[in-house]
Amino acid sequence: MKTTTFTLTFITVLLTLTVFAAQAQEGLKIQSVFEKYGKQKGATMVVLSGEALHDYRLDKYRSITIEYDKAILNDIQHCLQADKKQAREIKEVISNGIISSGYYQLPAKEDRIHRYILFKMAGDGTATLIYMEGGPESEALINRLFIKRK
Amino acid sequence: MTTDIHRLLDRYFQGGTTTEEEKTLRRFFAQENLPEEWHETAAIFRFLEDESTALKVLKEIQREEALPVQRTFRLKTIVTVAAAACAFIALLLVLQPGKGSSSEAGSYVWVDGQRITDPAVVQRYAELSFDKVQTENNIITEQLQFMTE
Amino acid sequence: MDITEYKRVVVALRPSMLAIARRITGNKEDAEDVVQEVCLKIWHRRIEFGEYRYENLEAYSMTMVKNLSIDKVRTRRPSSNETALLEKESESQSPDILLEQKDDADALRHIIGLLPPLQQRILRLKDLEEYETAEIAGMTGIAVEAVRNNLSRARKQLRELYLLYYRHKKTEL
Repeated sequence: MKTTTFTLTFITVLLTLTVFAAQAQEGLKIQSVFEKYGKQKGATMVVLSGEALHDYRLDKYRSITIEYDKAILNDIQHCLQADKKQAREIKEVISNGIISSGYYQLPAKEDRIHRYILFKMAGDGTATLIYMEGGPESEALINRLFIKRK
Repeated sequence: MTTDIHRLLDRYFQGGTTTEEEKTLRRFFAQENLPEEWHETAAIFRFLEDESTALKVLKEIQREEALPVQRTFRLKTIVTVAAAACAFIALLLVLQPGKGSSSEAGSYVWVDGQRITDPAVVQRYAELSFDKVQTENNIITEQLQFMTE
Repeated sequence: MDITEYKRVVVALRPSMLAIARRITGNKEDAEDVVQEVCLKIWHRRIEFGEYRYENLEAYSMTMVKNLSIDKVRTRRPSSNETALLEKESESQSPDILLEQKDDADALRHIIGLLPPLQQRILRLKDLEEYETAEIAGMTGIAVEAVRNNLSRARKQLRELYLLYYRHKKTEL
């Protein structure tokens, strides 16, 4: 068995391609994470927007890195659990019941706007959550950048 | 009752108690007039109880504070693998003067409650956030490979 | 003093404590460390302070912040300028038995700081921040068994070192 830095006890890799019949919800629970913690001490929130994003068929980019405590961690985990229910593609690492990293592709809004949630907990007590929206071409780009490194 | 405490204590020092059980131990050792043999152990549990209570409050206070504190920002050395991400972000923000300021319109970063709009700084923070999410997914592909071998 | 009153007291005193600490230590991180330690001390000693009025608590806190800030600077390597400044500061402190006393809480906090980094981190997460073992395993990426082992070692070490301190203290009395 290959020794890796992290000892993972449970890995979930679901490559679900089922299309959800119900219309994709507008409001995602993770949006509340940005709203609640984005501007506080111990948090770094990046919001990219504007013309330049359109060149890459990205409409939205929002990230937050936060020094979490028990309450914040629970909050984020609950939001992820709620939002991932509508995901059409999931790649995540779950360790002892906690999502320690995840990639979620949500159903496209109006068939055109693809949405992605990325999440990772670092060993230094911080967690990073990223939300992106983009056109159909963005999927390949995001896969290349985030999933396949080499 | 005391044999229960002995048993709980044993498990505590083996690292095998739950949070509930530890609360039980803390409650026991918070009592007044414990026999001499318990005094040292009681001191430890009383400390842990007090310290964790106070820390919770202090954390709460820090969260509620409006004091903007400059966090020292250290640039991580960007590895070649992340170069693609950097180029991506750089292009996203398009710092060429010809493009005009509207391309950065709306891009900003909040750090410890302070809003920064300087494009170069925003770019650095965006690269950092990319970086933080990127490394982990390498593990996913490694594990995938392992599983399919 | 109950926990709500404690919070009120800390919120009221923090700004001035931070100001003093920053003036002496010269940077925000050290100042936050010092102020946190003083705030913890206030809670650990709340019974003694129950007797005092608020003004005494404030005076105690400010003097404590000054002393700990000076200590913090002393543990760095001081330039000649700093040494002169330190002498000046120390002279203005009036000796106070209550202040000089290092108590059990100080000892235990110090002992925790002596533990190896991983054990220290896990002990803090479990015993001070009250996460569950499984949560800690998830957060640190370490197996549950390993978390238990580190926790066990940390707790035993804590007990051993505290025992030494405790027995030494008793023989001195």
